[in-house]
Amino acid sequence: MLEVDGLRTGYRGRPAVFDASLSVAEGEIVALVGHNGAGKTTTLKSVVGLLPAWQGGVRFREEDISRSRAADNVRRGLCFLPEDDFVFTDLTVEDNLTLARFGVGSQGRASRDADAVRAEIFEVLPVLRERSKQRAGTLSGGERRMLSIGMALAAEPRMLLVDEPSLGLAPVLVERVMDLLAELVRRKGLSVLMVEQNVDQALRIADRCYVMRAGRIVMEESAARLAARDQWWDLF
Amino acid sequence: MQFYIDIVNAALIVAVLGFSVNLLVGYTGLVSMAQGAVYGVGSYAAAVAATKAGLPFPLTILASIAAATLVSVLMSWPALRVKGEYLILLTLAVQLVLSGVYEAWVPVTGGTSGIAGIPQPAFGAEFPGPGTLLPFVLAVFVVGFGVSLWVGHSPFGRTLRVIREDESAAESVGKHVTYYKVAVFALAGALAGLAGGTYAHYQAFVNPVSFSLDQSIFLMAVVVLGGAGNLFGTVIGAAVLASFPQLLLLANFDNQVAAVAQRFLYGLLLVLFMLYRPQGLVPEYFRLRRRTPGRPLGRDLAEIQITDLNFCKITAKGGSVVLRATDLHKSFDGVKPADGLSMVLPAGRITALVGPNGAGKTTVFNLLTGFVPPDRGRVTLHAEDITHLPTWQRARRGLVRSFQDVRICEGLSVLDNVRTAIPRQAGETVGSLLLAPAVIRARRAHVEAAMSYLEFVGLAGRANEPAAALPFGEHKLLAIARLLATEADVLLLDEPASGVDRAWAERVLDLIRRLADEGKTICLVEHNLDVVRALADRAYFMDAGRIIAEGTPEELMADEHLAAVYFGTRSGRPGHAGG
Amino acid sequence: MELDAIPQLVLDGLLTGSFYAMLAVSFGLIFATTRTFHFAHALTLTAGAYAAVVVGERGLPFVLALLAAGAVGGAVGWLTDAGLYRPLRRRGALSLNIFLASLGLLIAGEAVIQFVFGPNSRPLRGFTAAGLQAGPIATGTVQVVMAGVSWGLVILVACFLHFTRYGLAVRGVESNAFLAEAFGIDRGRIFGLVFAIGSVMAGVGGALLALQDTATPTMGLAPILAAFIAVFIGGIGSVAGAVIGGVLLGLLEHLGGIVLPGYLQTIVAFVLLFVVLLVRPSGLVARARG
Repeated sequence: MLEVDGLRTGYRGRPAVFDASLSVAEGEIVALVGHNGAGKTTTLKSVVGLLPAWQGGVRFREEDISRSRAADNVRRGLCFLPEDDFVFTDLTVEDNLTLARFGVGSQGRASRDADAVRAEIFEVLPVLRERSKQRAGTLSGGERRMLSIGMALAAEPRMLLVDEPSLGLAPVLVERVMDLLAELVRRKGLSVLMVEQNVDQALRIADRCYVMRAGRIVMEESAARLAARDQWWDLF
Repeated sequence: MQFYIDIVNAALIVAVLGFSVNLLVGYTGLVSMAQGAVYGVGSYAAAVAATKAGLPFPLTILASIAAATLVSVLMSWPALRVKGEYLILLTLAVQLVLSGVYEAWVPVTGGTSGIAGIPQPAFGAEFPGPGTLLPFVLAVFVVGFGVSLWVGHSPFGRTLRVIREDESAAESVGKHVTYYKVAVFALAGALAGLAGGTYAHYQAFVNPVSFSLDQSIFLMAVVVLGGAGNLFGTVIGAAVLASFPQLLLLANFDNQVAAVAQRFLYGLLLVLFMLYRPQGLVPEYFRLRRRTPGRPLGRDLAEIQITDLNFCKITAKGGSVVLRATDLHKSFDGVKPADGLSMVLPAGRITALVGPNGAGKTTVFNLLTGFVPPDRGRVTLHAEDITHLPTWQRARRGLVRSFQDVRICEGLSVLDNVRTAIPRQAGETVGSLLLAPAVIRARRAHVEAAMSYLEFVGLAGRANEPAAALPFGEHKLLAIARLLATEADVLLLDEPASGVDRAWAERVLDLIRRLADEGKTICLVEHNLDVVRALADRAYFMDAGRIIAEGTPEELMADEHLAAVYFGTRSGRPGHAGG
Repeated sequence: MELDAIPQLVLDGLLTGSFYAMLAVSFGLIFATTRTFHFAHALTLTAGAYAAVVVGERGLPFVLALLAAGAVGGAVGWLTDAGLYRPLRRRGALSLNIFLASLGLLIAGEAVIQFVFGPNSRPLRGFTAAGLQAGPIATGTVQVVMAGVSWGLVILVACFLHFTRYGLAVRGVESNAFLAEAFGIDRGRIFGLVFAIGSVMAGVGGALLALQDTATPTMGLAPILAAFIAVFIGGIGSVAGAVIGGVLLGLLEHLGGIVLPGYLQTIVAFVLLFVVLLVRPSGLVARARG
């Protein structure tokens, strides 16, 4: 599904990712863990096209997308949920969901009826129906995260790139979010590349895991094997 | 002949005004669209003083300077509270209000018809004209240029540039930003007043047209086209833009056409320069050596030689408590990044703050250095209560921090980045600038000190390059040199090794270790646990705004509860998790 | 104090305020979405005014003059974004540099208009003005047309923003440009779109102003400054804020005369701005930024 090969990128001439190679297969959940500042978020942004790659290649469904812009990648079926500011706080919940579909329905991708998609979102995340006329800025942290996942559903992607979905959430909600992501994969056959600090929860739903440190990928391991280790400190 | 001299005189006055704008915009990064109006204050002050109060000639110039300085300082009060577009709009408002006053306050300004009959200083000539006044105007120019040059290239002027590049960086190395901003507004006002008084006496007539928004825009063009931050550029800009319409007149264009052509020209030049040469004709550091292009990043790591640290003046005994924070609280709309936080930093030790993302580690630095005031709690440094001191005063007492995103001033040379951080420099304040010999004598000592810090981090060979030309790894080293230059003994390092490749990180770690050996008290926030393990003597483990454990890094990492906090393991041990 | 005059002054203030409100919405839309301090908006307005004048001089109907003004204004604005701001943004220019370039464009553009059309004022022909009287208060058809067209444009823009797909995209970019891009909204195109819309309004505004007074090469700055002030007073990023700021400014301009001597009236707006910037920098209708 996704292949990243020797990616090097950064901000304003400052490299943050020196060399990252990874792949995600169809229907697979892959976790990307590592210390803060290791370059995980930067890697995601670059894959989606929000940050140009300086070196290396990104291939999505056999197509080279290392030079293409975010708008085109969204049409190809990539969906990125950022770490913070992941909803349009000035818009209502409903408008957020509508806007998330902006890239849907072009480049020959079969898209479903907007109403059907919305009904499904409300079925999975009933809280969004209750809050649909409310401004997203007035939602609680957990509700915002649910909205973010709802937006991902609305965008009908093939692959989801999620940055720290557990950040700032109470433990119960973290489990709920992870369960939701796992369910989406099962239902829709999505692939997921997830950056997560909550290693335990990430490994619970992930198939495979990459460890990043100081701008490089230093380890690749199956989630089960990594979860079985007696400690993780040396990964960070 | 008189015609040409008139052009020269006009250009000289514009140049002095340009210096005034350049100090504000080019040096300090404060946009003022009101300098035309401030110039007007000076002109009217001289005109009124001469025609109504009957003040003799040189005194009228003093009145100009005083009046314009006063107005400029008054303007700085609101201007200090706003930034960016708001500052532009606010100064525009000042300009338009003053323009309105010039036109409307007829009893004093004479309204649109202005004030005529301002006596021209004769200097012995029977009929004063451009020629006889040239020495006077030239003298004013020399004074204006001299003052601007002296100020701009003093420690004071360098601090202005640091403020332009990054206010928080200036605060963090102990500079009182508000003082500098007010002072530069005063200086800019004085220069505009000097030009205004000169203009009034030179023309013998003033009216509002000369002090309109157009004038302010024109001055901005002079400075920006010449090169913001460079006084020679301003002279060139003034010469070109002020003489252009006059030269058109020579070519038998009529007055109207020449004026329009001038506006077209400088409008177009502004657009083209912003697009293709935003640094102006003469860039700020046009003499700086550029690094050879195409050199690969980090290749010269091996060339860097670390010298001995021979400048530490540490008094605290190893292990004694230097900094103590007691029960700090802070909440931002519902979130509590500090919730009853207490910690101590012992002298000569490296203390690390670790904890999961969002635990509030950087907030601790902000609270300790005063970037963010605590809601409750106490911070003491060397047993002195510093809880309510502003950042710059804490820095002067020996508590400084670095930033995750380094905040190096890219527009300054490597040397100047370090030099500005040296505390208590002669010539750092307006008052001390008056003692020229002391400033000149101190200069050499400061350069030598700055060079020794650069040598320590291995950047002495880059001293005269613009900081922007350095790769990020060297920025990290430069940031350390800048911290050392403050002579502070407590260093708070925010992710000193992040964002650089392994070899560079090693170098940074080595430096930090040596600083601790020399007696500096160090606290670091670092997410790369490798770094923490390699450096820290002791670590505090933070979660949700509290310190929940302390010990050596090894002890903390052996604690299963902390692992659960860090990795989100519910059962306290990995492997037991899972659904 | 002539209290009898108050109803008349309120009416005049509301009519002028309606016009300011429209200009404020046009500038506010551009500024809130693109964060460009688009000083050259004044040039767009002037260009629209001259387009209307030229059409009017051909003896064509007034409506055509308005349409021409809108079309020319929109084109000038869109081209300014595409030809000037976009390259500047691509080079990572500072906002100060973008502002200076905008200023330069305004000055150079005004000089060009002066070269082509001469420095003298040019009236907009093709509309027969008439006085209107209702009891003690009076106004003219010109003022009513100005206010009517202004409100029409404001309502159109509000509807566009709230009921169309691209309007939603504009609000999305304004709220969170990064996230909008992550969901496939091309920021550059949205910028072009708001420049075009805002500039159509400014162009029509120019024509209306030429109708009320005349067209001159430097006519643009004063009304656009009023629009800037209205936006900053009202609060950035809100159509309602811009409208309130504009109407307030109009009322103040006319009612200020009751308590203030005439010569101070011109600076009332700037004093108001000054106070608002100091006391409530986010504007009167401030939105909580999440």
